[in-house]
Amino acid sequence: MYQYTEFDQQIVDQRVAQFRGQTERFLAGKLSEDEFRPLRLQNGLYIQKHAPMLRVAIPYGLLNTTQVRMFAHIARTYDRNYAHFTTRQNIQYNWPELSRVPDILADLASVQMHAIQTSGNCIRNTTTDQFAGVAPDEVVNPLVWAEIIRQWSTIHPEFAYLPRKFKIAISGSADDRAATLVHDIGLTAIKGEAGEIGFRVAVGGGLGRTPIVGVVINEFLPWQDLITYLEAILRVYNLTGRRDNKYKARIKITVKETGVEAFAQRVNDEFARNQNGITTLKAEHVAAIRVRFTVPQYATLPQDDAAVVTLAASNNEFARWHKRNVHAHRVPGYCAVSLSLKRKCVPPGDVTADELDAIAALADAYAQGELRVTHEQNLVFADVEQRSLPALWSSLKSLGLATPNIGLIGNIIACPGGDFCSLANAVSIPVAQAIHERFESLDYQFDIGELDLNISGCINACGHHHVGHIGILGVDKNGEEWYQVTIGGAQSLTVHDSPTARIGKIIGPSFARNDVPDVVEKLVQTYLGVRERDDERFVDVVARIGIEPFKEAVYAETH
Amino acid sequence: MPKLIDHLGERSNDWLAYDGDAHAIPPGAKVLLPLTEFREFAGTWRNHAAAIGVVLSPSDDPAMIAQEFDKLQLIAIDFPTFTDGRGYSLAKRLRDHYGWRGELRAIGDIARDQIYLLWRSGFDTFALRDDQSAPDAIIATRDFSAAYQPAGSRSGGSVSSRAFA
Repeated sequence: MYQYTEFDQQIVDQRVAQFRGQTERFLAGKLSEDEFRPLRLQNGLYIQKHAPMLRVAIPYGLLNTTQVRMFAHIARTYDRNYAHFTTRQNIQYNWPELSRVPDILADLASVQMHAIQTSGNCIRNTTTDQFAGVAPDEVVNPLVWAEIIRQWSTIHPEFAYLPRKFKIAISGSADDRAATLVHDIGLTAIKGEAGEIGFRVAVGGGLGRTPIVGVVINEFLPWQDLITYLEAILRVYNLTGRRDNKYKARIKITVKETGVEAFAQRVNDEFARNQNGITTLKAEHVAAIRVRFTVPQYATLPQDDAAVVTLAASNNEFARWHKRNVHAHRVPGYCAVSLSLKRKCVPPGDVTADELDAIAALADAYAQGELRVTHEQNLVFADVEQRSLPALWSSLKSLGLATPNIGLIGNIIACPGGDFCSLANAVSIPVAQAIHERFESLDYQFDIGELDLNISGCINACGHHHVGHIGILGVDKNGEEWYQVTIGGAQSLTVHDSPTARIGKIIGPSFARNDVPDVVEKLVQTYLGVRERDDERFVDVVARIGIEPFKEAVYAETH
Repeated sequence: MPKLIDHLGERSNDWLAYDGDAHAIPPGAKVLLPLTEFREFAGTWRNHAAAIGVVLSPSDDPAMIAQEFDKLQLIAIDFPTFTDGRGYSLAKRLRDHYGWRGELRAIGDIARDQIYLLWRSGFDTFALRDDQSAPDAIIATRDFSAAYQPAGSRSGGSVSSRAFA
């Protein structure tokens, strides 16, 4: 967890004061709606269906328990006792009053948090792997680099009025858990032949209206050049990205229309003009930021805890939770634990103020006072001693946060959808709940195995439906809510030893809301009928046999 | 004529913008020319005017004037709307790549809530939109006393910056 310096605190405090002044001028009628809009957006504030929505930044998903308790306080004081974790590792409040938003931001600043650039046409919160720093397959810990990017991008004067929003993700592992290839810039921290750190740089990935997998334009960028290179990409985009049509304004369209090679050439030219200049990182810059991170304290423990092994052998419920929600850790005797926010009758990612307080207490007791938010809208305790798993499990169970569905069909990703969002064509949450009910049986879920099911209420794709193994998209047909289904998407997979992502394929005409659970059921049944091994996942089967058999199964009986 | 400020206070604005009517520019005036006019008739204007400035629109390439800095006393970048952020990157290129050390002015849809960002991007004077208060806009350069990004080749102001450390 990065700890602010006085310098960091000063910037965040002054941002609160700036926005307080802007809000006061708007409420006094001295600032027009058009002028206020980008200012409020860049401070996290949307105007939604029912009320403003405030999106608070959780830089690269990392939180301490003081911050979690502040979330609870804000939910109670300014909102309706709950909050919503998003697919970009942020948290949202759906019912704040505009006039009180500066007070919320001041409360956040008191615990080293902010809502800067969580919306608007600027560089958004940088996201990363929820297991950063603890994953056994990690090559480079991306956290210090994510913080460097956070600092560089925060109130960057040149890039506050980009053609469109801009999202950067960074991963440091072989398995890309940060979905880097569906971001405007996807960075993979790697090591060169001599062990030196560098970055593989991909650009132009994204979901939304035009889903595209990013393209690598630099196979090894030395770490010293990271900021200079990011600036080069942003500058080329800022100058040449389309501003005539917001649907063609993302960098993925710039790259596509310019051509990958020509775009890369422009970036390299811009980079060459500025290389070895004032934005070059030095070892002391990185070290100064690194020392501000808290360091987990690890005890010397055996690789496996005997009591845990025994409990898993005798208690099926614990065994299931251990299998799905407990993850390997690089330190012997430790593990990471997922808290599932995918519960029956609760919208995915929603959490109450009381639950936030209870989670904070558990993180203090079992996880060194820190936790992470995942882009799948769950929480992770990253540093848990294996020997405390039985006690933690029992506490989580009593809170309803031990549903063993991480990676399974019950772990549905869904945007807030038409119930809250003014952009949405259709509701998401009731669809998620209907599917959740259909697949309520854990025996069934475990039999199906790993399956990412993602739901977006509109083409903006906040629910990342394109990269769901099964993706569901709300569409508007003559004022009615319909749902288009894609299959075979994946946020990260390995093809011929290279990491990539895959956009799902549409299986055919869309469905009425009530039919969606049946459709998903047919897709799953088709899969179960043709898989060759238990560990051949749904997405693997789609890759092997294509979408036709699924299409037939879904549409045949409706005739 | 728009009110002109820098980060310290109001400035007198004695530049006349040429809009196609040469009679509106008396001999010995300071004249601000569109890029095409400057490129074609800089020589003529040098005989007529006391000083020449050029206006870049967001789509102009600063390379077009990079060899002509000795003829220029002012470069202005136009913001047709404040949400068109290309001018910020043009400023960056002019300052850091082409090495323009003279006055860089933001003109067009310029209001107080963009002043800080413009100022940090290398602009030093701001021609305010008519409805804007000069004192408010001047104060806006002090919205922050610290910034993560280095200020580039331009000095000035009291903002402390650090290059990401």
